[in-house]
Amino acid sequence: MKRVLKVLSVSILIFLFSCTKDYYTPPGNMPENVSFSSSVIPIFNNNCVSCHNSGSTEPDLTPDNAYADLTANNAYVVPGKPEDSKLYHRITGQGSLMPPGGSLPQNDINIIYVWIKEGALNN
Amino acid sequence: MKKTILKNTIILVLTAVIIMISQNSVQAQQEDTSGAKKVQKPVRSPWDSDMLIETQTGVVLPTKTLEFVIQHRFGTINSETFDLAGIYGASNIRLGLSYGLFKNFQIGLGTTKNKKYQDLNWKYKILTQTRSNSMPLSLTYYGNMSFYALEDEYFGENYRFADRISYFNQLIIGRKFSRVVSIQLSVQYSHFNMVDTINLQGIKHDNFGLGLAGRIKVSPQTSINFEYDQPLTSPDKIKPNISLGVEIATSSHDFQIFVTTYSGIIPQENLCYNTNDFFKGDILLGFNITRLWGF
Repeated sequence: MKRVLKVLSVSILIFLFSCTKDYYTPPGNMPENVSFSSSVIPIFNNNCVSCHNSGSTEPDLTPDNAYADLTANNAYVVPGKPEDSKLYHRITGQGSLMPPGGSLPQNDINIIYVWIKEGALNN
Repeated sequence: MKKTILKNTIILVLTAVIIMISQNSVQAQQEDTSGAKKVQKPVRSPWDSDMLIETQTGVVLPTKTLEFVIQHRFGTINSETFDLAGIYGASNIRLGLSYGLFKNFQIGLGTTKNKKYQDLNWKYKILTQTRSNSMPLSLTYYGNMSFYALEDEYFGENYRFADRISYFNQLIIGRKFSRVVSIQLSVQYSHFNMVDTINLQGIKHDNFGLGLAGRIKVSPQTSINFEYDQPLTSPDKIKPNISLGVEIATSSHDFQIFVTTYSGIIPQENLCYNTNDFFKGDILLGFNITRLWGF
């Protein structure tokens, strides 16, 4: 019984001293007026197109086809709503995390977030 | 909708507990009339391993026993293109070690690919079901403390180390009904020190869930396992887990292969962030392998 009490005491102490309630605050330098061609496409090129290319795993994220594939029927991107977009779910680990080798840098996630939030324009 | 699920789940749990207790009461009365007094030995092998697909079981490793576990989840089988039922898709894996520190208590460590979770876990068996049925149920507590090992920038502007930490606590009530059937119910509670309410609206720091799991033995070494886990307080887009699998056990190995909804492996990740919907075909193949060594 003493052992049980020791274990419980240590567990409760660890829990109480490290338990907080914080909220994620996006970095202050969130990008603005994100360009799909010059900001988003390079992220796809560096991290995604090795698998997501023409004739392979969908969506096709090669520069010529990425926009059409992502936005057709709002399948992967819902303009203005990153929280409802499958693309954003995947890169933030809701469901299966993409890329499979590990999370994108937060700056790249922010770029995609802002691009969708600004209406997912083909700019 | 949420309230209805909660209400139905509570009714389900209460009904199951009443059935378990009432069955014991009948058996206890039968034993009393026969006048036989049995030795209070624990029931034999209520489960074949300390885990069952996604959840923990009431099994705690014997003292001075080391367990190595490999948990693997493939990608979802409903990929838009051919990826061999998710085998070529995005996978997740956890490698872990657990050790029976003293009687009825084990401690463990693990590392997981997705979100680079590093977990410290512990399990304590509070009550053990006995063969004589003097104790009809087993009661086990499982907990873990997990750290994201992602880069600092992942945690936003006001980063502090504690933001990396999350917790999971589970109380498991189980019963081996016969040589064939074992069932367990669990109450789950998780806490994330930091949540991202921008990207997942409605997510809370503290979340609760209920779980139902079972084993049906079809041969001395083979079982059919099933599991259902219902988040109670997570946002609507967070979906429950439905899993079904086969388990093959030997004295020192256990091999489980299954289809499941969860891909996170870490229980608090599954409880709070699973968006895979079983009814939309978001299911995936997975397996667990354990190996035991006695010292």
